[in-house]
Amino acid sequence: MTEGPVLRNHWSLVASNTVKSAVTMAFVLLVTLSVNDLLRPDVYLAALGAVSFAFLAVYIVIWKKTTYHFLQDEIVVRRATVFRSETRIQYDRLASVNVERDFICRILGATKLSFNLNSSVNVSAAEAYIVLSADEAEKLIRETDSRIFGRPASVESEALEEPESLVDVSLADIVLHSFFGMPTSQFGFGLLMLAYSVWSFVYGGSISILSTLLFVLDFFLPAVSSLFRLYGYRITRSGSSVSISSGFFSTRSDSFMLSKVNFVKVREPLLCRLMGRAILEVEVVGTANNKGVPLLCPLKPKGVAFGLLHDLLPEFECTGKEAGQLRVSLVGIGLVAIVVMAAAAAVLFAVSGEVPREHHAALYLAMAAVAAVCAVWVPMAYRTRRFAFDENIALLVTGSCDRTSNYILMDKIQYADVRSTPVQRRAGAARCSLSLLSTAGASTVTSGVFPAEDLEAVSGIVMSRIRDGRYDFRRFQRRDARISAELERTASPNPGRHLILVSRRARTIRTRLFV
Amino acid sequence: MEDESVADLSEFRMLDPVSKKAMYIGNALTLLALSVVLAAPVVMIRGTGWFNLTLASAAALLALAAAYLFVSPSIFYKHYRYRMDEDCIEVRRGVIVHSHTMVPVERVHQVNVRKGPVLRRFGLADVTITTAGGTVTLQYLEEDIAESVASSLNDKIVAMLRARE
Repeated sequence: MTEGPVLRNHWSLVASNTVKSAVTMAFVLLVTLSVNDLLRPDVYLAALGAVSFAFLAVYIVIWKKTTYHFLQDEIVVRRATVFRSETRIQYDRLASVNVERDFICRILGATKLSFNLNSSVNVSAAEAYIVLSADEAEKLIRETDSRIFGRPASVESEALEEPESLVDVSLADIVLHSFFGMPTSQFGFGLLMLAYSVWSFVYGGSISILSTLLFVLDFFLPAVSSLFRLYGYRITRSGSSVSISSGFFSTRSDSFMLSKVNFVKVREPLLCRLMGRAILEVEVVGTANNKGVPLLCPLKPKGVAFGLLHDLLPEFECTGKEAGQLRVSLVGIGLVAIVVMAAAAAVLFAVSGEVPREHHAALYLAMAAVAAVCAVWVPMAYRTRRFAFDENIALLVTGSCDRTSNYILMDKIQYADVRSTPVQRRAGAARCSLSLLSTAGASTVTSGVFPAEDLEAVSGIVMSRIRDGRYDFRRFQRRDARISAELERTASPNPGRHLILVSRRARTIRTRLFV
Repeated sequence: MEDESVADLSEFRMLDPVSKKAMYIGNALTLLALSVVLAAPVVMIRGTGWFNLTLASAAALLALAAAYLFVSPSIFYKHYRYRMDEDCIEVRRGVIVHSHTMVPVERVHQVNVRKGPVLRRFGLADVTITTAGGTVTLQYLEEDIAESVASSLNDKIVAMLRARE
């Protein structure tokens, strides 16, 4: 096996890590020296300089000792520092590759490439990342594209030609998505806080800091952040892989194989439903950081979102007939509404002693508002949740005000759990939780209340697909002939080797890790 | 030996009656911890106007918890069933809410056998089965059965990985 050229991170990684550490240490030293009455400019600057220099030296050693080898079938990351490590990532195990250029990277002309495995372990952090100069990164992407995504190696003329986006997303769409695509509860709370701030300013003479802060943090900042993040949104397809890119200050591009999609969500918050619009999202490991699941289609007319779903992921279409919830579900929904109203009444009763009698009408009004919201919520929660399944797909429509249609491949269900309360058991009803691998790691989608028999059938189909061979793990891995041949040649004589760890302290844990 | 243990587990099995004792002791410890947690706010607001209401609420909560923790082991024991065959693991359990969990062996990534001090005292163990979508635990199994389940799962997964190669 040839080692290939050795790559190292771009120098900007050392600079950015040193600056970040120096900023943190500036604060730590400020506090430490203040507490010990040693805070003098010369002492402070000398200490900060020494600590920053130490960090710089450490980061240079790490930079020097960390090497990357992009081989024919895997990426090898070697770190020969105090803790020596070697990470090997096979291309066909990759779920996604991210290309990020944040503000600092753009100034310093660097690009960060992250490689994510299709695993719930380490889902919040990439298995490996490398920071390269923009040119080197482009070159590496071109070289590894065919190995990772099976795309034909692009020639210069093709590389210059930008592929057309599958969905035409205008700035107006992004603005609509950013403000109306958030959950209704967040939207409503934000507007309520804004209204209170305006009211307190107009009638109280001063602005309420708390409500303004809540409005900014809960509504305004997330919306503006989403606006900048999704600016210039493009989705392109090349063979069986998809690339999504966007960003104003920081740009980000996610590429993943369509076979690595764990499940699909069509989100329709209340206002979007009224506008006849929907958001199409997919769950692929590594494509989300702290900014939510990746979008296939931002807020667009429903026809566009479903059209894209049909074009890109036809296997996620459910042919089964959708069923509404059983009437017994109203017991649970009603109970929730009663508990909410009782809690609201208790809180209002508790604060009534502190409120002047002439303002008690406001408390009655608040109670009436809570009751009205519950009265609207109950029928919505009852009607929204739906369920359908066929031999390949389970469709779980969840939510109440905000509707989410979860399209789940039977072959991606990790396990199923059917639960029933005493009241539901009397009616032959139950709820079902399907556990899946998602963008955020392990995730569970829970259905509404439907016939227990139908929900149990989902587990039955999952098992029967495994038993009769309709489930084929190779369908979800990309192994071209060359890689398969290489794997066969290098196959371990003991593929099922495992590591047994035994610890004996307060409790004994015996763990088998399949490696 | 391996085949026998698999055959034994292919039909739904109940837990060993000794598991009820382990549950009672575990629940007593839980109740003790809950008492400490509930006592803290009561002590903190002693002498204020909210004392009586808080004391009454804490006492009511503790009484409810005590009743549940006292009754639940026998109901849990009565409803608990588990089985494992060549390609799936099933668990039926619950006190008020009953659940039926089915885990395909094909999805299993990791198997843990855990024995806390209470379980060790009664020769019991929990088997935690980890998949990419989360974990499922077979609770209060007899130690030898827990080990048998773990090694049987191990053998099946090894065989499956070999077949894939």
